[in-house]
Amino acid sequence: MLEVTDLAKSFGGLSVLTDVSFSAEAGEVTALIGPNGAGKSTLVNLISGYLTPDAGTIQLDKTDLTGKSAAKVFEMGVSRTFQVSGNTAELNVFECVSMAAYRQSRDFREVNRIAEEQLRSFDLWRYRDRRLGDIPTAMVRVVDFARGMAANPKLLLLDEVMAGLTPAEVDVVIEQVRACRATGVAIVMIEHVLQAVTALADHVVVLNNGQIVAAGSMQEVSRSDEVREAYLGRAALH
Amino acid sequence: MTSLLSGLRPSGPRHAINTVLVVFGLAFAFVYPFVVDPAMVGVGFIALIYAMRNFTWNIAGGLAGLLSLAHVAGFGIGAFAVAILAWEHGFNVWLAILIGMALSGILGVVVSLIMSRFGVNAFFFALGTAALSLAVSGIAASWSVTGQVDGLQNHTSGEGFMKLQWFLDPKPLYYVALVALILIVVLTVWMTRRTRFGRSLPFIREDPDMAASMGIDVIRNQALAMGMSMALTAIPGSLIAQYTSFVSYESVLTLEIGILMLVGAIIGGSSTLAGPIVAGIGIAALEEGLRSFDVTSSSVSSITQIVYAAVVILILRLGADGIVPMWNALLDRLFATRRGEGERAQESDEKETTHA
Repeated sequence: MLEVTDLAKSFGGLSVLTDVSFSAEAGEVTALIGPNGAGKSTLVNLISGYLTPDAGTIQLDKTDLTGKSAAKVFEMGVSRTFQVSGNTAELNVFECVSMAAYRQSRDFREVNRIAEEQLRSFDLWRYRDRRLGDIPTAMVRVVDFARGMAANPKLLLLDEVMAGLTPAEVDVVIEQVRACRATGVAIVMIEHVLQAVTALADHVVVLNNGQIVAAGSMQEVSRSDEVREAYLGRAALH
Repeated sequence: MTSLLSGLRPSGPRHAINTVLVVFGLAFAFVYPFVVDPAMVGVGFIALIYAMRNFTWNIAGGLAGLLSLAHVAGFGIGAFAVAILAWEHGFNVWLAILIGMALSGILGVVVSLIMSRFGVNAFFFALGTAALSLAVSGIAASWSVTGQVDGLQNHTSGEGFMKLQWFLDPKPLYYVALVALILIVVLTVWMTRRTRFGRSLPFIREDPDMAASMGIDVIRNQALAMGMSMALTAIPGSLIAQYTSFVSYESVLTLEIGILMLVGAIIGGSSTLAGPIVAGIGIAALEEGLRSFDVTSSSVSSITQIVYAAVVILILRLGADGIVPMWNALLDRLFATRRGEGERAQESDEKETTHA
C-alpha cells in the first residue's frame, strides 16, 4: 500500500530525516513513535505533500506521490488530520466533512449524503450545525476522522489525535480508529499516548534523530535497546 | 433540497426575526421611490451603490479572507468602461459594463496569482493591492483616453433602458441598482452554499494549509474569488458613472473608496452576507442625515469618518465581529432570557405582571 523508500529531508544545514524506509499495509494501523524532534511530523508532512523530500520516493499502490502538492496527494487518496486545530474554530462541522466528500463526487446532493452518512456513523449528527470551536476537543478529533473517511481514502494519516484527551476520551477515539481500520484503509498514526499505541498498532516504527531505529510489533520494539535508549537515555540500559 | 438547506441553517427565533426583517427590508426597498421626496430617490440609489460595493468587496475580503485594496481599481474600471466605450465611442452601455467587468475580473485574477506566487501575508496583500490601485489611478490621471485630470463627461443624448440613462427621473436607475444588488446577493448565496468553490472559501480563509490537504486548490480558488469579487465591483462603478454622467480619477479611483469598501464590510460584519449591505445603507443614511442638519459637504465626510471611528471603537469594546453579528448576539441573548423568564413565569404569575 504505502511504500516509503530512502526518504531524506533537511532544513538548512540540519538533517531532519535520513534514509527512512517503511511501508504501511491496508487494513492495518502503523504507529510512528519516537521522542520529540525525531522527525515524525516532518515524515507525515512529506507524505501528505506539505513538504518536498530532498531524496527518496513515496508510493501509494505503486503510484508515485513524491513531490506532489497537498491537494494532488489528497486527490490520489491520502487524507490527514491536524495537530493544531486552533484557527479552525469558525468552521462548520457539516461543511468540514462535506468538503472532504468532494473527492468522491462532484454532485452537491451526493456530497451532502456522504457527509451525513459519515457524521451519523461517527455519532456526530447532532453537532452538524455547530462550529468546531463550540464542541468538545475529543469530538473535534472525531470530526477529523469523519472528514478523513468522507474522502474514502486509501491512506489515513493521524497526527497526534489523542493529544490532550482524557483516558476515557482516548478510549472513545480508539474505537473510532478501529472502525476506520475495519473499512480496509491503511492508517499511519503519530502517537505519544501509549494507551492508544498499545491498543491499536499492528506495526510500530520507531524514529530517533531522523532515522528508523526499530520496526515491528509493539512487543518487539519495546524490547529493543535502541528504543529504550531513545526514550529513557543511555543510563536505562545499565 | 429545501429541507436539506433548512437542515443546515440555524433556525429559531433569531432566524425568524431576521427573515421578517429581510422581507420587510426588500418590500420597503421596492416601494421606497414612491413614498419619499423625489430628491431622496438619489440618496437611495447612492445607498444601494455603497451596499453593493461593500458586498462585492466582501466576496474576496470576508469570504475568502483576502484583504484587498485593489477593488477600487475594479470600481474605477467599471466607471471608465462606460465612459470610454459608451460615451466616447458609442458602444452599447450594457456591453460596456460587461467589458468593464471582464477587465476588472481579469485584473483580480492576475493580482491574486502574482501575490500567491510570492506567498505574501495579509498585510503585504493589502499593501500590494493598494499599490496597484494607486498605479491605476495614476494612469487614469495622465492618459488622454481617460480624460487625464479633467475626466470624461457624458454627452450622449438617448434615454431608456438600452441606454441605461434617464435625465430627469432617478427612479429607473434606482431599480436597476436594486435588481443588480439582489441578483449579486442571490448569486453569492447560491455559490457559497451550493458549489464546491464557494464552500471551500471559509477553509481557505481560516487555514489554507488545511484547505490544501482537503483537496482544495487554494491558489486557484483565491484567484477565482478575487476575479469574481472584482468583476462584480465594476458594476456599481458603471452604475454610478451612468448616474453622475461624469467620471474622473478623483471621483472613482481614490484609495479612500477602497478603504470605505473594506471598512464598510468589516463594521457591518464581514462574516455575514447582510453585514456589508446594512453598513452601506447605514452610512448613506448617516451622510444624508448630516446634510439635513446644514452640515457642509466637506464636513459631512469628516463627521462620517468620526462616526466610523466611534462604531469601530464600539465594536472593539463589545468584542463583536461587526454590526450584524452584534445584532444576532443580542437577539440570541434576548430570547435565551425570554425563554428563561417564560419558564419562571409558570412558577410565579406575579413576576410576569411586573415585567409586562
